[in-house]
Amino acid sequence: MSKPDSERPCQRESDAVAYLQDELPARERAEFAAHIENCGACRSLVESAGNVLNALKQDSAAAVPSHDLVSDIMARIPAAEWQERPERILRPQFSLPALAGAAAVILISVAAGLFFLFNDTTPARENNTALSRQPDGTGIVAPDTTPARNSAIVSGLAWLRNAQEPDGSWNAAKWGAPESHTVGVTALSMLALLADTCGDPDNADSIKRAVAFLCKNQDTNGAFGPQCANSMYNHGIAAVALIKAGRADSLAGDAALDKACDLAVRYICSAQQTGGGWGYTAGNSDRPNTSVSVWQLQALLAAKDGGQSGLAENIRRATMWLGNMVDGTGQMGYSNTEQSPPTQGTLTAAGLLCLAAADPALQKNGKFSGMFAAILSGMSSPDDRPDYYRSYFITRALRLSGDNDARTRITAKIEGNLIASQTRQGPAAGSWETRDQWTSAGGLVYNTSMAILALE
Amino acid sequence: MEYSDHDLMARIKNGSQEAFADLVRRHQDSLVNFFRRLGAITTAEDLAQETFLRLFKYRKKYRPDAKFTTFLYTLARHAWADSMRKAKRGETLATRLADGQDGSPDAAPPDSHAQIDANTAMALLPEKLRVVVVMSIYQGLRYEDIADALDVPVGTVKSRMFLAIRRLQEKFNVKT
Repeated sequence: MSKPDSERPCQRESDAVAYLQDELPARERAEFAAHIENCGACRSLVESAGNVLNALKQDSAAAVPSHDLVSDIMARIPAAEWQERPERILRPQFSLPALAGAAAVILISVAAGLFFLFNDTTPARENNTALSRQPDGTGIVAPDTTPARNSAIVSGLAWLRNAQEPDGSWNAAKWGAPESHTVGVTALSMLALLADTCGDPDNADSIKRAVAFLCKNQDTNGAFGPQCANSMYNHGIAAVALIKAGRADSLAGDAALDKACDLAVRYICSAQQTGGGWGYTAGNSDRPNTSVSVWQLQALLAAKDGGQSGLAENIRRATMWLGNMVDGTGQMGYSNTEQSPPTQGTLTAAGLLCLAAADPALQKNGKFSGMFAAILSGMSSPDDRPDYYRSYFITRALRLSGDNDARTRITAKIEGNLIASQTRQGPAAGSWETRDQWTSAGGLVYNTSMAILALE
Repeated sequence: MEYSDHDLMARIKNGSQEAFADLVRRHQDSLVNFFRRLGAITTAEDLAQETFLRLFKYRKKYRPDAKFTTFLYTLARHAWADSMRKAKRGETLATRLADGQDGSPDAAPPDSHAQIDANTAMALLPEKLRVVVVMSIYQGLRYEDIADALDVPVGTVKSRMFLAIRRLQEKFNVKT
């Protein structure tokens, strides 16, 4: 190949960068290598282009996400999108092919219902009243009796107690969730046990052991659990659980528990962001979001309710921030009013509970009626796919509206679905195995705890 | 045992949220880095989320015989292109630098003799060239994969890469 005129670019110059990046086919690469031996322009170009490539590569500082994006993304996927073939955490009781998973869930639910109808194996205080199957047009079965709900709660709590580890924890990894969430799911289990109004002495023992575990997993700053990507979830739920445990008769006056609660609340205050909210981790490094913040605010409100002073300013800032997350339609956003996850009112309900607890007088505010309307709107055509987290917050928030037809109807549907979907046979009997969109984070212990809390 | 991307996609198709979470965690860093390199200063995480949402949406269109990273970056490129079209939310470095200028790829930095860093030089490239450089240099994709992701011939990738480096030579003060 002739040497190019210095005034004109070589026709092969466009191979230079591909040559440097080893992107030429072997034959072309060999030809170009031979070419630059004789072509000064291309040789010079290879050298200068090589310098540019090296300079670009030297700028290797990689940006990383400020936090794990999984939760944010999951929150934006409607639960119904996942439900075509729901997975179960434990192996099915029957050897069903994986492809028949969805059908298996239905069959097991029906079988569970029949088992429930015809087997008198529940504790004496339960009344095995049959479930009333009354399709109401949405295919959702409504319960007709409180005893059915009580039975579900009792068997759920029994499963929880049996799943507790000797050290008092519920091991998240053992039940299908990241191990770093053990503190969080232990706290959720505690809350479920604490909410039991039957006063089962076995629950009290289980709660004591869970309290001991959480206290052991609190650092000197007051933080619970490992400093993982979602550490403020762990911390907020644990703080709420411990503060509520401190009110239990069996733990009243426990100095170690009181100290742990005090430290936990101080940590929440120190982790509060300038704007008033909280992020996944302490401080201002994460964008604050309402999902994490409602747990911290619940803890502060519970502590204040228990007589702890000095929290007014933190609560005021948090309440102000939370209130500003409500958009004109009454929906609670995630990190701003424009980002409302399609979770059918979960955040709105959780926020409503906090705001109402912070200032009962605010319930007369127009914003509250807007939030109720948003919740009802989200539940106007609810699917029957499980969302234990949503079920809990929705049923709690609707209680604020007093007795009314909408509340009765929605609560009945939620409870009916929960009772019908509880596992009734095998080693997982009493738990809720059907997954929801948060099961990957909390596993079977989360499913069961939140289902019980929604029923209680 | 670590699942391959193909295995995770197969599980996602069957409704596994755990598999989806694993896949997001595996690729979220590189995707955020990808968008930051393209110039999304404040919206890189939003764009990464958008890409994963599209991945979920189109999960059933994924074929195991296709390379996963190609599929992922095809979706990322579409998310980026859409954001560029809308361009209302989120300021990009490129638009910031081009503010007050004609926005053409030949627009010189304020002081053409001053040394500028790689990010600034990259921001001055036309978007089509910048995407190729980012995919090749920072994401480590081969030309063939880039071609698939951008839906252009391999020769186009080669020529765009060449053009990009030539322009960076002019804008990026590299001693030769």
